[in-house]
Amino acid sequence: MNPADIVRTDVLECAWDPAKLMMFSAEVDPLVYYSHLFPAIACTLLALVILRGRGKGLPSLMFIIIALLFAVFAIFDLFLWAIADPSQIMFFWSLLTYIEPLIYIATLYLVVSFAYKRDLSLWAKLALGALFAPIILFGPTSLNLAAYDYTNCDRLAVEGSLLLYVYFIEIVIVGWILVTTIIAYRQATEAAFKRSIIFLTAGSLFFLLAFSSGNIMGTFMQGVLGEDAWFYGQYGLFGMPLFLGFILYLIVQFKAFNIKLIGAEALTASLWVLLLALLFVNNITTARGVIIITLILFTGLGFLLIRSVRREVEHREEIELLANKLKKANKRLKVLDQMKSEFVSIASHQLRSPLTSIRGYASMLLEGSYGKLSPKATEAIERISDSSTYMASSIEDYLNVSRIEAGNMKYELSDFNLKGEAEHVADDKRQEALKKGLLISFKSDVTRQGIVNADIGKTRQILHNLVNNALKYTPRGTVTVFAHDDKKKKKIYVDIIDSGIGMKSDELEDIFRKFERAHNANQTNVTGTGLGLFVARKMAREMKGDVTAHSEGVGHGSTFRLEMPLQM
Amino acid sequence: MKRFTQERIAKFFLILFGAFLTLSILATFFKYIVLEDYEIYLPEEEIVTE
Repeated sequence: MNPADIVRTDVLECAWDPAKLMMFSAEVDPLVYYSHLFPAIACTLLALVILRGRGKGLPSLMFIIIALLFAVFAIFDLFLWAIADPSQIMFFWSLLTYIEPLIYIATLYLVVSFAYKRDLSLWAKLALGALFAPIILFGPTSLNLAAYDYTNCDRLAVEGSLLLYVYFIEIVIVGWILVTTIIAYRQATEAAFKRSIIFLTAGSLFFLLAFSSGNIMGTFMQGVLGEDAWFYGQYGLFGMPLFLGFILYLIVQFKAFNIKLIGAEALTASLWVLLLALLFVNNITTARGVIIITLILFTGLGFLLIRSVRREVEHREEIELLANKLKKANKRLKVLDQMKSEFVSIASHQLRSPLTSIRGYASMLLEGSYGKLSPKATEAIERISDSSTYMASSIEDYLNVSRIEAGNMKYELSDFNLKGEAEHVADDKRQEALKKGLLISFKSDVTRQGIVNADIGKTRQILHNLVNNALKYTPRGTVTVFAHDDKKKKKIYVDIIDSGIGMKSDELEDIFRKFERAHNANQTNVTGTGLGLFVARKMAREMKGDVTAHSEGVGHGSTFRLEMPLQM
Repeated sequence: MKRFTQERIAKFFLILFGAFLTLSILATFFKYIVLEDYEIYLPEEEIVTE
């Protein structure tokens, strides 16, 4: 018989109050609204939270898909409870056959992408597609829904053998989830991540099994219990709120889905949804059952809420205490820092003034301003002069370091010829080099004028530091100052090439650290503060240049390079 | 390169899957809502036909 031929209003025995919005009918037990709308609203809300919190990555996307599919499933299922039109019932019922395995596939995807932190392999995707293909193929046939059964006014579809295949897919996916998460759990090293895998897998399996048990109950018990089979089956939908509980716990405890949510927010939202769901109950007998469920969940959630708020308050108090301590410590540090700066400045100035007079008088003595000196006295005065010069340069280094660290170093930038400055420094140091038996030479391959914009005094100091360094660590041989440029890179370089002790490649960066000297420096009997290169590099970098070192190895000499941007 | 190709294959199959799924759902709509092509078991004695 064709359904179109039926005059439904004449079926007096099966009279049905027409549903409003396909959902609200006086014929439907209020518990049905509670079991369907409460999980649907709860999961949609959490999906919105994840969407709004810009939860990134595949697991977030999959959760949103699961939540939406589940909400659609619950709403369609609710239509089946409320509407009377057989065609509409058949249509929405047949759609459930599509949605149910899709929820399973999305849950598998969620668990696997979460546990492995990557997408499924192409083969896994193809296998899932192949698994789902028969549903696409036979969904619109009588293998899905065989007929519409109106015999007992039950308004039920007679499910076909495709539903058995759906349950087969579900078993396969549950097994798949179990196996892959066990492997992922074994591979994971971090304890917190391992726990989060367990939580997600347990929550997902609980949800899927509860969800299936409801539908399996409906399918297999329909023959015995009729519509009642589906009435008991609806309890399976409560698997979703519990799954949401697991997801919320993962978000709060493990910051899963990259969402920042504090426990109090999550628990308040859960309680709100729970209370909202009570609105769907309008029958006192049902209300009693629902209120008992709410009360149990409220007690649990309330306990967790109080605990979470208490913990957060404790954390805040702890942080306030620490912040106060930090404030005090900071104040003390500022005072100490000021005292240190004052001490360094006073000490170095106090030392510099007498040193200037020591050097001045020593120089005058050597020049014979106070009469001729005996050779022994000359030698002693020369030592005094050398030591005081060394001491003055050390004090200058300490002062520079203190200025650099305090950020008080001032740079007066102007345009000057770096090639010329390098040549002057080489000339200045020639006498000192000769005294040590070293040859110092200057070479230039600069194609242009070699103008740079920098602090001329500081640049000179950098070059002095580099040449001094080369002279110190070259027992014999030559030191070459070589200026050259690179027009493409718009840079000018001054290389200080020595034939000295050299160093290993792993020391090339260490020597630019404060108070650091090359490992073999002690063998050369060289005095030094270990600050010259540190100061040189810091100053060069402040002027948009750099100082780098290169060496072929111990005994093969070194090259120190000052590079500065060229003014074009 | 291999990964890139795999991504393209996966995307292709996803589109194919989506297209067939949509077609299948549309077919269901036509079958039940438009054509009303399904069997119906009725309580015989109470049914009145035109």
